[in-house]
Amino acid sequence: MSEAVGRSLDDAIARVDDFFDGVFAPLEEWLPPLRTRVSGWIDDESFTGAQLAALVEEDVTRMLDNAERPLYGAGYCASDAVVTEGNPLAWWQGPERSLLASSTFGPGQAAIDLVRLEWYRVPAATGERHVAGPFVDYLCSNEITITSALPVEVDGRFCGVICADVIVASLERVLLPRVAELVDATLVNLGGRVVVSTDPGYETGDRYLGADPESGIDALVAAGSAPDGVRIARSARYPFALIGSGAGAN
Amino acid sequence: MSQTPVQSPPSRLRIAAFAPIGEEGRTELVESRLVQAISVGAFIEGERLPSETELSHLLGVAVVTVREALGALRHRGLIETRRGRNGGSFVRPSHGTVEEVNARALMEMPRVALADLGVHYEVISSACAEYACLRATPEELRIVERILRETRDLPAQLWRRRITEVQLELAALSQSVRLTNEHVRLQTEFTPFLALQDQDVEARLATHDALLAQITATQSGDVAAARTAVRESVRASARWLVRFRGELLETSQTGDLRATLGSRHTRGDSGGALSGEESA
Repeated sequence: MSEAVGRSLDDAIARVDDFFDGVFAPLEEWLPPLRTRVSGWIDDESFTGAQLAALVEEDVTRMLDNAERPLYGAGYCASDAVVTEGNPLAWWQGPERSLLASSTFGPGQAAIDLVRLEWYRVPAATGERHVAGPFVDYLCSNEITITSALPVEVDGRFCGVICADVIVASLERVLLPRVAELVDATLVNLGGRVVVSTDPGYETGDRYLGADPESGIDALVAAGSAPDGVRIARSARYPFALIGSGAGAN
Repeated sequence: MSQTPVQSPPSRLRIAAFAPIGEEGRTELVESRLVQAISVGAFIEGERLPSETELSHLLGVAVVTVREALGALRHRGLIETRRGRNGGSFVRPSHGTVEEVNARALMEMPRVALADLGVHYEVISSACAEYACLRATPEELRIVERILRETRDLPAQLWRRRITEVQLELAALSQSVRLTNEHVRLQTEFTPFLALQDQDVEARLATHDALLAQITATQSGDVAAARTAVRESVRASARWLVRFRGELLETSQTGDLRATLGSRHTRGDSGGALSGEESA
């Protein structure tokens, strides 16, 4: 594997980091004022999903309109500390910035449904930001999606997550031209699931060969390399890595 | 998180139920969409439907069209309307009504069409299962498995809703948007029939165990075993439905459908013995 390929891998993963920094930036900007507002809603027993949607709509649509990244949708999914009645997911998406059907969750459904969803479950459990996917998002976008999530905490209580969706179709356009200079570069998540690849042998959603189903690409990353002249550049801040195979070295 | 089984449906079914209908939207189309939503279990008995205004937005049809469709549903005894501050249209709180609608639909469906629906559902589900074997992560599968295991001893209706959820989730693990969409469409069509089995404990457990077997096979990446679990289970259900359809048609010559269905609840079986055994 040539030094040049190694360097361009590092450059390319830095661009991936930069891309997601840009996805999180508007969420981070929104978080402090939102937390202030949420603290006023927490103790209101009768606070409903419909009220939540009305109160955050302006913030979310503004965020989508001004986004410097191709965000497909964004919103706030409240925990039961905030919304006990109605739909806790205030979500807008698509070219029309349409509100996701308010009848998505039935009564009492949210708690069970949400725990299934990685973008909610992981920040709830860790208190940390998370990037989930790619996955078939049959709740919101109905596309192969990557969801970036930031937990909302008020006085140590978990109050839900604010999220932004990027659909892989638009990520492809942003990231593939940049890795195209590498021969056979594949962006994977830490579970070893392919995000995008220049290698015709890999499609979005595939499991990267040699990634362990249970530990993902951890073992490969730890070694910093893999068999067959494969090199790995791990993202500094996000659960992604770029795997380059060294045909370019020959 | 609440530990009590929650009486509510898979969200995805509702989204499918409310996909815009557009200009060709007729009252009948809205009506059949709502009947389907209710019979697939997207709304629970006694639950309030979205308001006329919201339905008109969601479905992309005029309020007056929605109003007419709701009138038809009221006439069929599927919903009741209450006035006042907490008013609206509510799904009739009687399982019997929905079951009867589904039983009639089964009787009216030509046998050849029923069999073909089974084939279509089987093929799409097996394809999803194959791709899930190649693509699903252990964590994703653990969550589905947990949902399924928590379901086993629930009452029939709750059980069916959870099962539908598990079936949709397993389809999505294929990581294919097209297959997932197709699966949702078929699931919406097939579930109202499948739910007719739910009074038959043996049939219920067979479905349950087949899903567990499918998840286990997927966890070990065994494509053949996952496909087999799907195939055998769907075929068993299709045979059960064909047999049950025959029985319904027979009793409809002589008796009252509602009484026939009602007797199953007290007898606790379907009248049609499920052939759990597979002829190799």
